[in-house]
Amino acid sequence: MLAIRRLDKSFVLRRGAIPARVLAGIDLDIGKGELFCLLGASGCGKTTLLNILAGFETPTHGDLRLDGAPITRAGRDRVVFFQNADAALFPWLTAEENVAFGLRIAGVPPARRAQVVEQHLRLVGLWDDRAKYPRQLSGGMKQRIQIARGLAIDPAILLMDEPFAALDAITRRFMHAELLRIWAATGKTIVFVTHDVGEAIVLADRIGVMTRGPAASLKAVLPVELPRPRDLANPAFAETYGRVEALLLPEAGQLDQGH
Amino acid sequence: MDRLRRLAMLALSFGSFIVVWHVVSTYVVSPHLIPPPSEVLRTGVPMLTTAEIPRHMAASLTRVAVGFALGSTLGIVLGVLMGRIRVVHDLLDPVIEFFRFLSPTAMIPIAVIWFGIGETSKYFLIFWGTFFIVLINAIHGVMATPWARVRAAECLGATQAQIFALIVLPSAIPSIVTGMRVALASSYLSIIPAEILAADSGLGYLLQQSSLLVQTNRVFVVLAVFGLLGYASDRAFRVVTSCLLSSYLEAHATA
Repeated sequence: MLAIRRLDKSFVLRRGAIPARVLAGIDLDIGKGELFCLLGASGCGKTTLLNILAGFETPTHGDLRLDGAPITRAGRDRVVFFQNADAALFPWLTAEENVAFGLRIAGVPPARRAQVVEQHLRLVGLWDDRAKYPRQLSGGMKQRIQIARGLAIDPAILLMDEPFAALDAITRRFMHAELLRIWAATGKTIVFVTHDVGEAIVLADRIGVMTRGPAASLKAVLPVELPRPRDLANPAFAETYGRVEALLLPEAGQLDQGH
Repeated sequence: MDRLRRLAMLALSFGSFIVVWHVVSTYVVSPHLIPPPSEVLRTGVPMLTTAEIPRHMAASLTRVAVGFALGSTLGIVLGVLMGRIRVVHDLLDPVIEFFRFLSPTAMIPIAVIWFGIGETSKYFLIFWGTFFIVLINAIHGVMATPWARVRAAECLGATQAQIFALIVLPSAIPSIVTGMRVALASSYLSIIPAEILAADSGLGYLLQQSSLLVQTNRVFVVLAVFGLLGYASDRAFRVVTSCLLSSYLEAHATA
């Protein structure tokens, strides 16, 4: 469904400076309905990759296709969910109006719009809070509004940029369960960026482990074959955790040399 | 309870000020320098009832209103353009950074040469004092719109025009309103020197005339009226903006 071929991305940080290579030779296929986690250390370029998939940034080289059509700019088929919901939500609109935004600007008739908004507010469990403003909602509720807002326009793929990283641990566990429930209910394809090994194992069908930047690429793509819901106390979970972390750790040694 | 406490503190604040004023003017300095509150009140009542004060007050208020409205409007329009369009910003910013350090008082002489001592020169001076403050806050408000908010709207299918009207402008409102409030205070600071130096009406003119005739009581009346006027204007501005724009302003209070 989503096909990434030989993707390179370089930034010119200063005029006249040698371009900094952020992503180097990314090859990846993500299937329809898959929940794919991109796992990597902070600053490795996983958000850059997500921004390229979203169409916010253009790759320096490489080919990028969604269902065969090249991705060149942002579009309603790919919705990004941001870590900072305070910034991403429209704070002057109520929860309901936030969710309706994409439908309103697309000219969906009011009756149909109300129906879709209700369906998605119920899906994320916030129908009773529909009249509240984002500032009146907790961090987890704000993220659920952001999810409902994105799902309401029925995108083909959800691009999630560490959406739960700013939440407390208990709320984060709850949001994982919520996301898995919503994913099961909608069957959407999800690309989920995270630096948290446990989060990746709890959620993912497959985990793409990125090398540490600069010039990051995919080090390995691991299928997670544990049955859901995944139990952290399960020895198989711990074994997977060890395997994934081993992929990240050897490179941590580079910290001493490179930085 | 909170409201009651606020009112009580307000009364206490002004009440103790008047008491201190009374004590100082009666026992410390000569009443020719600081007339006691009762004396000022006795002078003030006829000035108010004979329409002397209302007439000059209306003149000053009209000037502030016209200049403030012009300055705010142009400041918002140009500020939004500068905040949104890089080339407009880079082209105008250096010139604006130069002109904004010329205070309205510094512009009085040239205003008199250009526009005489009529209304136009006062409109111009208040405009001058308002425009740059609103402009700079509008630019900031537009530029400070979070990236995530603009990109979220882009993902949801918003066109550039929709992003501008539905995301960037609302995001800039709190900053613009703050700028206007500061500019309103600045208008009150500019109107007095303008009227002292170049006018035949207005509270500044009245202040100047009373001073020339050493009518200290009348000077105090005008100062009191002017202070209350500024205070009331600021309160009114806050009430009006928070009524009209509550969802935009409160939205940012905690974000």
